[in-house]
Order: sequence, then structure tokens, then C-alpha cells
Amino acid sequence: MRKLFTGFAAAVSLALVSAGSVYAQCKPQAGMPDYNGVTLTVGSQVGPYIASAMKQGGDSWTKKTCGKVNIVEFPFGELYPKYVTAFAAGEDAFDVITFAPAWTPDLAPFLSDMPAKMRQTEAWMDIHPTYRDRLMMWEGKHKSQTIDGDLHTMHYRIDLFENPAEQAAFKQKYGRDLLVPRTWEEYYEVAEFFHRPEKGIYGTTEAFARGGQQFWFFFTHAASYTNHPDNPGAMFFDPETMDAQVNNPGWVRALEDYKRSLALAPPGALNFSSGDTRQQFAGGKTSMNFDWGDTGTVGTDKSQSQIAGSVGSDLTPGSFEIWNHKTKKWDRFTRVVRSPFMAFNGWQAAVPATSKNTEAAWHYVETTTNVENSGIQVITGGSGVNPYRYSHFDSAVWEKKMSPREAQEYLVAQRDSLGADNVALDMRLPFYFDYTEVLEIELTKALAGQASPQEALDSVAQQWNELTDQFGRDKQLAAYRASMGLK
Amino acid sequence: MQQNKWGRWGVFAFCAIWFVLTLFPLYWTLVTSFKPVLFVTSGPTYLPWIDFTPTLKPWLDAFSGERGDFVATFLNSVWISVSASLIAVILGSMAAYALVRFEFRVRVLSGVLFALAGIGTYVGLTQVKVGEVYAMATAFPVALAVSVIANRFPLPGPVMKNNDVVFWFISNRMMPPIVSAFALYMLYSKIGKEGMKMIDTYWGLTICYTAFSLPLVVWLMRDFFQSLPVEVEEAALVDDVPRFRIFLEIVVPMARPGLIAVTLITLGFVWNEFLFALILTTGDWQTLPILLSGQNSYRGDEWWAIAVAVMIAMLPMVLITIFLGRMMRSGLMLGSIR
Repeated sequence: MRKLFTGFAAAVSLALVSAGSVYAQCKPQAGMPDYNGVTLTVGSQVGPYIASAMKQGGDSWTKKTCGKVNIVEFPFGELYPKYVTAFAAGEDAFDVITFAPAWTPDLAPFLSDMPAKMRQTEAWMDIHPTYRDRLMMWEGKHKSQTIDGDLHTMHYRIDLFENPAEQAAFKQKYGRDLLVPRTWEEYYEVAEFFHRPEKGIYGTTEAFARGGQQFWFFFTHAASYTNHPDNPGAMFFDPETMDAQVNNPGWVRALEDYKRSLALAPPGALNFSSGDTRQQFAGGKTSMNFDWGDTGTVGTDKSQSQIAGSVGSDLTPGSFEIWNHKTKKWDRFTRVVRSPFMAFNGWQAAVPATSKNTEAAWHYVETTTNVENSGIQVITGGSGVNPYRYSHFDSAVWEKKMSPREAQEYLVAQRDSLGADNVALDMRLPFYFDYTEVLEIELTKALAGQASPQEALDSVAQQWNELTDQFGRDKQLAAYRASMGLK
Repeated sequence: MQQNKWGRWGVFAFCAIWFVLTLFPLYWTLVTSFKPVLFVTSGPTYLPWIDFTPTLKPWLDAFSGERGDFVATFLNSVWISVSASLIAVILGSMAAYALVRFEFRVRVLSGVLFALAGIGTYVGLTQVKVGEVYAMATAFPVALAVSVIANRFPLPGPVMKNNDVVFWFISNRMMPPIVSAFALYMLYSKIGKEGMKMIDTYWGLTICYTAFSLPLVVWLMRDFFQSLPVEVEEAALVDDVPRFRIFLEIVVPMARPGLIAVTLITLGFVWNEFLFALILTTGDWQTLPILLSGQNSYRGDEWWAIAVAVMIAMLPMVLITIFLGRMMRSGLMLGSIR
């Protein structure tokens, strides 16, 4: 018995010594800081979306610096209260947080500034300016790092659009060629043409479910009619008075369009979230949709899609007419104005001021989002990472996953949307959820036919104005102008 | 006779329909956990290998860590729920037994003195720059000592008896948990800043769950103990057997079915609890309900992943219920309460 015990103790000691020596052997790569003994706690939503990218970056960082990364995952709906509660109590629960840009105004006071040296590299200049100079900043300071580019693009089925029989039938019916739609009017014409419920094919679909990201889809419609090129930042609120614009004729037309999509969607669409819309498209159920870049990566993936090889992409449709909130009139343009909407604005990563490892944490953020790692994340299906660097638009990388034509169209749609003259930014406002919750309630009523688009949006406008007064009109106005890049 | 036969068939048909209705959601969840994504979203399919080709991918995704750390959260749930349930049942049973076999007389005024002494001590100590946590840790025993001593004196005012004490226990569960959740978070946070980490620790959650399970345990076990024949205990008392031995060697074995039932209820409560687990953990001691809720991502309902998470969360409770249920039934057939 004694021998047995001695042998066991010796084995345990040996194991401990060898484990210790392995630990001691970890040497950082040349030129990298030594973070042996540092463990970073990174807050994220439950994976795979974003969390898997943070893990991939964590593995890379560990190899380079010997530091460790512990990704802690929470349901998306609980992330915001989790962060705010920890910050308000002064807890150093997180070294890095990942969050929606809409929360920036609320979180910014608790975040450390990005180190200046991070902004003096080639990799820094590779980040698209829409993110680098607008969404990563708050009140003139760089507070966060974009880890995902987010905007809506349109997707269509090449096999249907380029079928000679379909082209001929379309021309006969509408007197024009069947082309990728440039305006919402054309979009609904095409959707109606392909809407064949008896054959299991539907015109289009969007997210209509309350809590299923519905309002971002509605915002994409609204951007086309309300993001006036001459009145920057006036889409959601009047940037002079902070009066809600959500019930002006542009928004009403957007809601009418949104309802039109519902009539052309598969059964049960009222319960669709964004995930459902891309599954419907990838399953060959709809001729078109618009969505974040994920429809592109899911639709072209043979293991997830029935239409792989036939996924075309383009900018979301635009409009010849845009509402001018100053003149209270529709302005007509000689060309189609495309107003791609930066729905969600892309996930951000930041380092809370309470972190005891701010230097290591920013180094981890920099490593995770560098050209090499983000290049891997962006072409990995399920990572939830969409292009945000110029280098992400290199089609050679994408052709490993998509056909050359799919890759070409996907990247052009993403790049041109991001670089569009009239690109529309999402709202970033303190108490963002209070505003969107009101909107979701009224949108759901309008979709269910319990209120007309005008009635629903009048109610939203009234409640948004009340919320603005409640939170402080001047404070909200200053935040809104800052978020829209207005001085 | 013919009518009787049809009646039996009718009852059988009703039971069969009811059986299908109750088991179908479980079956549906199970088959969904083996469906490829396309088959989840492209209309209903029911039978593996006939309607669809089953895949292990959702299960592999879950256990690979891609959709959160299922292994760690599962083990956390096991340790915390088993510990909290056992501690709550042990403490609660003793409290319930005492409330059944001993008469308590608690003067309301001594309760008031408890509050006054507690608040007074706390305020006094914080005024002389004693830290909040230490002040609280001192105030509570001081208040308890004052009220216990005061209760021995013939103070004026109403006197609460056993039923009032039991009502006080159960009244702790009347308010929504969110009312105390943030207060508890702040308390744990302050204790943590004094060097004793409570948030996101095994003991932090276990103590919280024990406290919130106790009222239910006391309430239910009191009924079980009341139904036990007092004569057996009286016979033991005549033989001069100490009260604690009577409790452990006579009462507890006789109350075994009740103890098992209450353990099951407590285990179920702790296993499925979401709110405290969400607020009082940040990662290391996260439990299964948090991860389960996270499967419903901001990208919508990913039913294949949700189905796997539900199966993982449900299976242990089903197995424990079957196992303990058997013990409970066999216990009902034994002992002096047969």
C-alpha cells in the first residue's frame, strides 16, 4: 500500500513538474511582448458568431505572446445589461468586451482609449475609413476597434435571372429586360414575377419577427427614401432640433414597401428573423433577399445551400425620389440614388478602463483584428465577420469558398456599398433600445394590420420625441450629431 | 358487456392520444437535434432516414465548443445544483422538524429590536469609518443577539407562533427574484472588493440558491413531518434517546419519500434557474440555462442548436427523476407510515 502511495505521489509530482516546465518553456515570438501569466477575460455573445472569431484571434495571440484568453459568452439580449451592471459596480469582470456600436454612447465613459501606437501602422490604414474614422470613434476619441463589417446587400438567384425562358416571359409581361433591380419599384416587380407559391418559390423575404432584427430591415428601406444627400444625418432625427423624422412621407413609403415584402414572402414569414431569411434563400425558396453578408457565405456553401453556384449580389435598391425634411417635399434625382444601410454598423471590441491588463488587452484586440487573422475570420462561414478592411476584398481568397462570379459580385456589392457616396449609418444614441423597442411594437402592429403605416409611425414619432425629452433633448442631440459625424 | 368494452377502448384511445401529445414535443426536439440545417427550415420532416438524412453536426458543434462551452457549464450546473439542493434540504428539514415538534414564541417587539439594533450598529460603525462589509458582518450577529435576549423578557405586543414563522419563511418567495437579484449582486460585489470574491464563484451561487430554496424546503418538509406518527418518537424519548439521534435515525428514514420529493423539486429549481445565474456569474461558473438561452442568437432561432442544448439540459433531470422516483415509490411502501 505504501509503495502504491509513493508511486502515485511520484507520478503526480512528475506530472506537475513537467506541466510547470511546459509552462516555463513558453517563449513569445520574436518582437512580441511577453504576456506569460496574463489571462484576459473577453465578453462575447454565445458563439459561433463573433465568439469564434475572438477565439481564433485568441489562439493566435497566445502563440505569439504566451498570454491566455478566456472567452465568456452570454445570450445576445443579456450582453448590454451584463456590461453596464459590471461597469456601474466598478467590477473588473472583463478585459475586453465585444458590443454593438449602438451601445457606444452608453459604454464610452467606461472604456479606455485605444493606444496611439495602434493607429500608426499599415494595418490601421487598411481599415475602411467608414469604420476607422467614424464608427470606431466617439466624441473625438478612438474608443473601440471594428471586428466585423456590417451592412445590407441584395442577393438574387443567378439561375432564375439568367434562365432564357424566364427572361422572355418577364419581357413579355413587363416590356423590359429581366435585370438585377436598381430601385425598389423594380425589386417588387421582379419579386411579383417570381412569386409562385404553388411551386414553392416566393418573391422575397425579410426579417419580420419582433426581436428578430426586423427594424434593421425596415431601416434599409427607409434609407432609400430619407437619407437625403444634401441633408446628412437627417434620416432618423432633425439634426438641428432632434425632432423624430420617423413619420415623414419617406418613412411611410418605406413601411408600405416593407409590408409589400411580407405579401411576397413564404408562409410564416411574420416569425422570420434574419437567420430564417438567409436559410430560406439558401434553400431555394426565394428569388431574392437582402441581408448582411451572411446570405452570401451561407448561400454559396454547398453544405448549407441548395443554390450554391447561383448566388448573385448587388447593392440594395435605391430610389429616384428622396424626402427632403427641410422643404417638406420629395426631391427627384436624374439618377438612382443608392443609399446602402450600415445595418448594425458592425461589432466593436474595446477595453474597459477597469481592466487590470489594458496594455495586453489592446494588444490582443490588435492581433485578433490584424490583416492575417481577420482575413481568416472573414471567409469562415459562421464566424459572423464581414469585410471591413481593404484587404478583405481580395477575390483570390474568396474564390476558395465561392465560384469566381459569386466572389466577384459579393465583393463588389460589399465594397461599393461601403464606399457609396450616400451610405447611411445606423443610429448610435444613448438609450438606443428604448427607441427601437417602441419602433418594434408599432412595426408589429402595422404588419399585423392593426394600424396603418402612417398611424404606426405617428405613434413612434410621438414616443421617440417623448423619450428624447425624458433623456434630455440637448444631450441626445449632441450624441446624435456626434454619431452622424456632424460638428 | 358490449358497452363496457367500448368504454374501455374509449379510455385506451384517450390515453393513447394523451401519450402522443405529451411525448411528441420531446420526440420533435430529439429529431430536430439530428436534422441538417436545410431540413429544419424547409418545412416539417418527421422520420430520420425516411424524411431526412440525420446528421451529428449540431451535437458535434455543441461539444466542440463552437456554440459555447457545454462541458464546463454542464459540470458547473451539476456541482452547484447538487450542493445547493443537499444543503437546502439538510438545513430546511431540520428547521421544518423543529417547527413541527417544538413550540416557538417570537415577540414582534424583539423583531423590531432586531431591525433597530442591526441598522444602528451598521450606521454607527460606518460613521467611525469601518468598511461597509465589516459593519454589516458585525451588525447582523449583534442584532441577532439583542433580539434573542430581548425575546426572553415579557415584552408587550403580539407574539408570533409556529405558523407565523412558517408563513414568514414562505413569504420570502413571494416577491419576484429580480427584486433581490441586484441587491445581492451589489452585496457580493462589495464583499469581493474586501478580498473575498463571491461573484462568479461556486460558493457565491451555492449560497444564493440554498437561501432561495430554503423557504420551499421548510414549507414542504413541514407537511411531511406533520404526517409522521409522533408515537415512535415518544417511545424513543421514553428510552432517553437524544433528540438529534431521534431526528437522524428515526424521523429522517421515515420521511425518506418526502425528502426525495423535496430534493427533486429543489434540484429542478436550481438546475433550471436563470436570473441569478445570469447576474452572479461572468464566465467561470456560468450554468447551463445561460448557455441554453444563448443558442437563440441575435440572428434568430437556430432550432437545431437549441434542440441539442435542450436535450443536454433535460437528460440529467429525466434520469434523476426516474431514479429518485423509484426510490420514492419504494419508500412509500416501507416503514411505519405504510
